[in-house]
Amino acid sequence: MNENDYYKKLTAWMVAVITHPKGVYSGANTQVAKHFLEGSFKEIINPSDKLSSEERLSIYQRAYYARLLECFSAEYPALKHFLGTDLFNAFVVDYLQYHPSRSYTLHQLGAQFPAYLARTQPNQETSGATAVDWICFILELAMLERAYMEVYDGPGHEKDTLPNADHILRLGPDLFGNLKLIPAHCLRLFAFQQPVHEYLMAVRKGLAPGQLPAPQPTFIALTRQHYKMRFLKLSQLDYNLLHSICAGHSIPEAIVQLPDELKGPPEASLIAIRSSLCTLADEGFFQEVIAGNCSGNN
Amino acid sequence: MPRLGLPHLGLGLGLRNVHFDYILKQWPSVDWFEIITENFIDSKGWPRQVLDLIAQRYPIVMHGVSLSIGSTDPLNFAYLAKVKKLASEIQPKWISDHLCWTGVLGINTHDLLPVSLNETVLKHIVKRIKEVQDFLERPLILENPSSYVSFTADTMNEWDFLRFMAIEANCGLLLDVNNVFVSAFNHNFDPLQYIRSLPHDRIVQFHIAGHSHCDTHIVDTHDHSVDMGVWELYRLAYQLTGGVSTLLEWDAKIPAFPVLLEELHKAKNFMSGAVGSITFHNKKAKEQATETIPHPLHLSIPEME
Repeated sequence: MNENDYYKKLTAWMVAVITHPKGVYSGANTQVAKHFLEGSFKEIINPSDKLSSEERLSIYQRAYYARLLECFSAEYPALKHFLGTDLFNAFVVDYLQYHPSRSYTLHQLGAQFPAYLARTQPNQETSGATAVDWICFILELAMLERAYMEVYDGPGHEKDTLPNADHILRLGPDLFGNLKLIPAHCLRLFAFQQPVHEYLMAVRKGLAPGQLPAPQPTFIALTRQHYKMRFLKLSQLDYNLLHSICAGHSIPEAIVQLPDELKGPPEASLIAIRSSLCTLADEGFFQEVIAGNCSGNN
Repeated sequence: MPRLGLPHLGLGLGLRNVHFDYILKQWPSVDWFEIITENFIDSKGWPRQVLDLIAQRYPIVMHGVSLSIGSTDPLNFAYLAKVKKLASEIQPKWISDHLCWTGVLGINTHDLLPVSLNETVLKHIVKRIKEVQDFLERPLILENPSSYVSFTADTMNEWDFLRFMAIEANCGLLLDVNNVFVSAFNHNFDPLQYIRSLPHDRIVQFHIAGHSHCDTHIVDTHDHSVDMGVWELYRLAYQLTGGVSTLLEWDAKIPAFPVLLEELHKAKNFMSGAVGSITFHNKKAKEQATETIPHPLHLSIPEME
């Protein structure tokens, strides 16, 4: 083996060893590690006066998990509070076996964590009602905490002038009928079974919310204005309208998709919808109003 | 030309998000800021807005943690393009990273792992530094790492490796004085000889930081004030280089901004005078290794408004 090949194998061996959750002995005994290098730790790593080769390597193994657990604790503080440190850490360590970081940035590390929790959840059909509520709560909380990070550092509209209620009110009946609204980049919508946003806010404010809240169907919008994170509780009508708008539908299409129980008499319904859209526009939920062939904030 | 012709910026601090509000309200008297590049190259939110505001008033240096110059994976030019783009926007005085590798086969451990110190790896790294410098169209400044292992395949000292690397690749050095102290204890070498052996005209910047002594080894935790032994090494390095930009790193248990400034300004007491003895004594009770995380650890975390 030439020295270039040895260095390649050495680095690959080291990653296999220090990323093993059970420690460097287990790591060195994996097929992956042995594929790269075989031999005792002492043949690869120099011992020091006070530490053996494997003890020195273990510093990196402990640091790998401690560092990434610290990142997850920062990204998912409410989920950690709810689950407790031991269970939270167990989930994260298992997640890392399937999703080790492959990015230059730690901001991507936890991106698949909500999907991982959903994929590995117990079968709800064989779980009791309390267990189902518990599972549902952690899935919704994880989803919201990830979205919170993405909205915080993602694109926003702080440097734009967004359309407000006046833009909606100025539209005549015909134009309103062709209206299309483009959602703000930083708008996220959620229909949750439980008020997880209240739990998240409490934890981020340093409070210690109690255990599982009572189920309560909740529609919320998460957004950012002037670089500040905001949650807004939505009516079901507002949620359904925004959901259709975010899917790229025009207002007439969104109205058609409303469930019957949200539709009133046509004229009353249009008044209610116009009022809703005005309120939502004032919240900065839209980046652009497109009325008929006209485009722009007019 | 000293410092590769780059300016002596004075005494600076690492920009950390817990201090954003303080800095924007107080505009404190600090000479310059160093940012962690990866915390800003994708930011389109508050961190980037803060950086833009701060860059209007203070000199900025970009310090990366993911270049992985010592890896055998191909260089990530998509990442480097983002680094270059941010540099074009905020005009840093220079761009630095570490003599290390962070992962291989596509995996990033987000640790600064030590390279094997031999001729083969030296050639590999020199070639990659040249490629990076050509791409960025500026010199790369590389920091000596703190390390906890050395390899049986090593054939040279770290200070020789750094000297050959800097000269052959025509790059600059960021001398982390605390890392010299940490590694000197962990590998049982003389930190004074290390610093005396470096090419001083290529040292562009110093890092100073605190560490955690675990009796059997020292961990580069960036969560303490600077040890007296590190200050004495700094005194030697300052005199040998004629003085270069100095930055205090503090990445865990981060105190209030004025506390950092007070610690930073202690550097003025160690820019001249006779170099004192270097001791590695453990002043505190043994610290649990499991509680110490080598830094940098970097993730911008939003705070509830």
